[in-house]
Amino acid sequence: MGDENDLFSVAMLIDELKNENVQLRLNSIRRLATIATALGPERTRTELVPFLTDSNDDEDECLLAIAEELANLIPKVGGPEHAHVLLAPLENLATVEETVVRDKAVAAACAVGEAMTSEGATTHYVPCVQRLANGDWFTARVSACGMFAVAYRKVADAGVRSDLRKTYAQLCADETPMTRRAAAQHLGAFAGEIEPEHVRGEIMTLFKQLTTDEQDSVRLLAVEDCAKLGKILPREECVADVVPVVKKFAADKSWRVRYMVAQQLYELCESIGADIAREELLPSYEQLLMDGEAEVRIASAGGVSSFCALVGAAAAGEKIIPRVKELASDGSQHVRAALASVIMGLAPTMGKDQTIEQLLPIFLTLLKDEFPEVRLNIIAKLDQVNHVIGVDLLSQELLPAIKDLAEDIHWRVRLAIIEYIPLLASQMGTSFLFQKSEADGGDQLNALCLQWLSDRVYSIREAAAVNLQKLAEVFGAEWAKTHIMPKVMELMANPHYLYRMSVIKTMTLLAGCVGQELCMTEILPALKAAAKDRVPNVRFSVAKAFGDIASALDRGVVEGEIKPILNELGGDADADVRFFAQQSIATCEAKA
Amino acid sequence: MTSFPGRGPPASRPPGIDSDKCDMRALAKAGGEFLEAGNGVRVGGWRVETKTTPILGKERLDALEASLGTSHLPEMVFGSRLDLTHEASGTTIHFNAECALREWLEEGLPPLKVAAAAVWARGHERRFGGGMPGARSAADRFAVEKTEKKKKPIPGGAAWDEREDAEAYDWTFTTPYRGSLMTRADGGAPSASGWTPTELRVDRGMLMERDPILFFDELTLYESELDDNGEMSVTLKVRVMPKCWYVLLRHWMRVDGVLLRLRETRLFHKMVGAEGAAGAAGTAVVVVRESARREETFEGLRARGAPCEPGQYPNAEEAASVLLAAGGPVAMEHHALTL
Amino acid sequence: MSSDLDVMIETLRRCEVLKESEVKWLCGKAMEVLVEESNVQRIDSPVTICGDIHGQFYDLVELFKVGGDCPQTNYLFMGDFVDRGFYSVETFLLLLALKVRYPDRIYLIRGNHESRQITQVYGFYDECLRKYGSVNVWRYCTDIFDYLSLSALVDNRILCVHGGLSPTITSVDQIRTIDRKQEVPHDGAMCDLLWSGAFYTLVPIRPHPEDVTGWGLSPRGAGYLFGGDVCHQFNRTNGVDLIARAHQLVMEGYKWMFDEELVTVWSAPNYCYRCGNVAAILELDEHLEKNFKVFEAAPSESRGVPAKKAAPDYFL
Repeated sequence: MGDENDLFSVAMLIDELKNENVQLRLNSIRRLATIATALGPERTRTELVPFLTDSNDDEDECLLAIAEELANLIPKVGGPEHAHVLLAPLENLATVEETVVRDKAVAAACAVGEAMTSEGATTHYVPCVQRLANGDWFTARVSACGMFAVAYRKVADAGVRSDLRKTYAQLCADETPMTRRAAAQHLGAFAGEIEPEHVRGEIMTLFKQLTTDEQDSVRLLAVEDCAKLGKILPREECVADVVPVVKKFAADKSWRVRYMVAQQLYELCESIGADIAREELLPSYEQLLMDGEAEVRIASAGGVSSFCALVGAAAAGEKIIPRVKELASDGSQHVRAALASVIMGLAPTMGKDQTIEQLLPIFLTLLKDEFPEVRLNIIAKLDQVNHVIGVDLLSQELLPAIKDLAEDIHWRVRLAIIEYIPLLASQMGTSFLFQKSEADGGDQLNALCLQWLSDRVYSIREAAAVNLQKLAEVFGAEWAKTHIMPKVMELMANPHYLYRMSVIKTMTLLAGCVGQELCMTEILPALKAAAKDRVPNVRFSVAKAFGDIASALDRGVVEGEIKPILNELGGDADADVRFFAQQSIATCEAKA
Repeated sequence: MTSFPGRGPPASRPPGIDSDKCDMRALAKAGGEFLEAGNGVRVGGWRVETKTTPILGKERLDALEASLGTSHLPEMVFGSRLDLTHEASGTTIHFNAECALREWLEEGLPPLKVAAAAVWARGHERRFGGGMPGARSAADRFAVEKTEKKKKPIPGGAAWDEREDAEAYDWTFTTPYRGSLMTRADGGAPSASGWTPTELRVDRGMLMERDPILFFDELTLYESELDDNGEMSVTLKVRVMPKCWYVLLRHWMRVDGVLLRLRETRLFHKMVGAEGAAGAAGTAVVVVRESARREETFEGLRARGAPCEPGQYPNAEEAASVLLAAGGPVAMEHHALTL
Repeated sequence: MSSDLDVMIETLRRCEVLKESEVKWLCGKAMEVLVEESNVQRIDSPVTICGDIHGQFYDLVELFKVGGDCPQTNYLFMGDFVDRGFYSVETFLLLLALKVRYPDRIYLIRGNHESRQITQVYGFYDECLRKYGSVNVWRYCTDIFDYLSLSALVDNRILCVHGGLSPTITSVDQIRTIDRKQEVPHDGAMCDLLWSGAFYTLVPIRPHPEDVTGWGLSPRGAGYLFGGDVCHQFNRTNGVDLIARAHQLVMEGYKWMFDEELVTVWSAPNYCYRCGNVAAILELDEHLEKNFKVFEAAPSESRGVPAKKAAPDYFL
């Protein structure tokens, strides 16, 4: 830094801050810290920052970048005692229309305030907050809300602090819902900085006022304050002041408020402790589980296991499980899916006997649900039940459920179930895969695993190949030889090139885990034959496959069997075949 | 636009409105309520309700074709609607795609020619002789063909299909639609006297006041890409304020290089009791309707030095402001509905 | 070269844009490849035929998930790569990079949106300007458009073209004589191949469009409409079994017409992120067996593009 070239480029960067072209301006803004370093603290304060303050940029993208970069200038303007100069441009940015710019400016202003000394904050930061809080535009007032916590923390003077609380009270009663929303949103953080006696007094008054706001979006944000205040206040006060509000919210006329309660309830219950939660809030939770609005039931169903774990098996069995039973046949598939994704987690809380008696019927119902996501969610969490009662009790229903999902018309459902198969297989063993179908006596699951290899959708065939590889890893070469290889070989006769290529992919993957013998007797001959396929794509798949399996084979085999074929493919009429053959030859040679 | 520093929000943004399109505190203050069942409000003796849907699927399109008796529909027809009901009289002013399309059929404008039509026609004539549709009417052309047989045959022996000309229709879906009137649920003729010419005007001063917006919505009735020759849409905006409600129905069409068409219908009602409302002392409830039509050829725009690239009129909103700035003749009509 | 290209392809697959200098280099390479191709590009089966994409990048990725990755699967894209969607730049450059890297595995023919005039109105021009701050990338790409082939002939049996037939063209050989290296003209054979048919199909004469015979003139005053007998006659004259074309939104992804002598393939699911249609590709195996693969919009894309919510304003 500091030589002539740098100074020259700095001059250029400054020039480009005024460029018409947005991209050039942005580039220059991104290098503000560099410019400031070159200018030194003095000139940064007296020239660069005022320039930014007076700049007439009206591109939101540039404004956003400036707000972001200003926070990095704190050390460049001469450290904490000079940091306040940065507040001027940030104050401007905190009033613009675009929310993301404002948010970024507020974050930067907070960082600046944080860096300041207590005196500096009193003389500069607090007045800035007060000005914004009394701004004409609601945008200024919204921004101010986010800056109070830092102001209060930095300043110890009782008078200044009292003024800050008064101003905040004013914002909580602002005409525009946007401001009240921002005030509600930041109340928790602000309260965290305030002396306990004032929290109990003034802040709780504001809180209660916001909880009765006409605008449901304000009440919505006040719900979030409940959990935060619950952590700040002593337990008795929380029970006395916050819990009744939560109860009221749980019955709010706006479903969005109730939805928020459903989402926040567990956190609050945690902070007030299991005993009080059981006594005070369990009825509210029950109510939310039966809410008229599906969204609310989804949110509350999602917390079923953690809630049950908190209140214990006895209360859960009495109050929650009956509701869960109802939810299992809820009219909304999304509610059932939400339930299915957590219900298996109830098993450890409820214990073996209760799980078998109470929950098993629900699992079975959900496994037969008409909506695939519900069934998938159950299967995805089988391991949680496996630890408690084992899966034998479920297997009767499990196979048909898997079979249905395996043939679902949506390929992503098929993909999801394939991806669970190795896990299921490793938990339940080969017997699970070879359970005979009652209808035709065939081994259902194994047949499915091979059937996926001929799926219409490419991604399913790819996943099927990986699945077979994983199964071969779990059950070993002998198993693969008897149960997979013969069928895989048959599929090489498919008249469609894409399906033959999926088989080649499968063989390549299996080669790594079935041992050299099987490679020599089964895989190698098949690949050799495929090297003469009429479709070039198949031939280059073979060329690639040879490169991949070379590492699983003896050097002699590579030299004697594979290299000659690759050399031949290296002279193929098709350019891609030649390319992949040469690539594999290089791989083989690297190995040698 | 004012600019940074100290750039405040531009005047177009309301000071406070909820994400569900409703400022509830202001609504409560105005003595109104939010409709729980649908998307709308009840305030000042009116019930304003909207419904927005995705485009119609095959089944509903088929039904619509049957009901309208045409097989030519825009690619995107929405099931969306707007209803404004005066509760005391039971009169509803409503807007939907089916009514708008019915009036498109009734208006039956002759088909517009795309920009390339002249060049294209010369090429066609050079290759195949006369018989351009539009140059002569379908019946004329048919007669000419029968008697003169001047047309060169198309190589390969195929023939020109005459029915195509009979199918010549307004493919820009231009509609004179300005909303429909209906009473109560029976759908019969309105008890109100209907729209009559008036000296009353939309109170723009009142509309520019920054009163809270109690309810706002925006929806599309139908829309077409005109097979990559431009675009057209019929859209609606509605806002309800403590002192008035206001609707803007906008028919917008751009045929690239040829024609811009903007038909705007504004409905305005000053709530009874509001300062200066018509018949503030009595009981008369009046809705003012202002219709503005303008058409600009790209040629005309170029001649006036106004923006004349299709890309400068990318959508209804921007086109309307560009046209406003560009000036030019606008045909205006004013009507009132007394309830 | 192939390793640079492979890096570009990986970048584009993540839906990230290339540097302007890279685009310039890529287009230079593409020109060398495309200039060698015929107006009627000869293609051997097997190949998978795709219709309009319109900058719906994540749906193109979905297409590859269903149909197979390039180069494993052979592809023919029948134009309209750009405009309307959010990612025209990434979509076109990915296809172009694949074309340069695997010229025998993927073929691209021109659609009516691959034109300077159309892209200036319908999105691609603005997107380039937005993503690069200059129109250079748009220039490189539109210059390449002029080199794209006009049609493809699979095993001499299936003719693939973006729009449809032209009354000035009775034999495939006549397409070969067109000088294609130009902006799409307003009339004549090249224009018809890219535009026509659309006039027919977007103005369907329901309930039985197939009943219409001969050539029709569009009510728009430019462009032709063609009927079943025209299609049949053309196919017989040229020994072709089927005409595959794109250009027109079909709710079901594909649509047979004229006794299965013509098929429309549409590959942009949930077109413009709100039409709710499914998309399709036509898989031809090495025996010309036809298989349609129907697919829906990519789930991530539908999450990435939230429903447009009306922002309240003091409109006048």
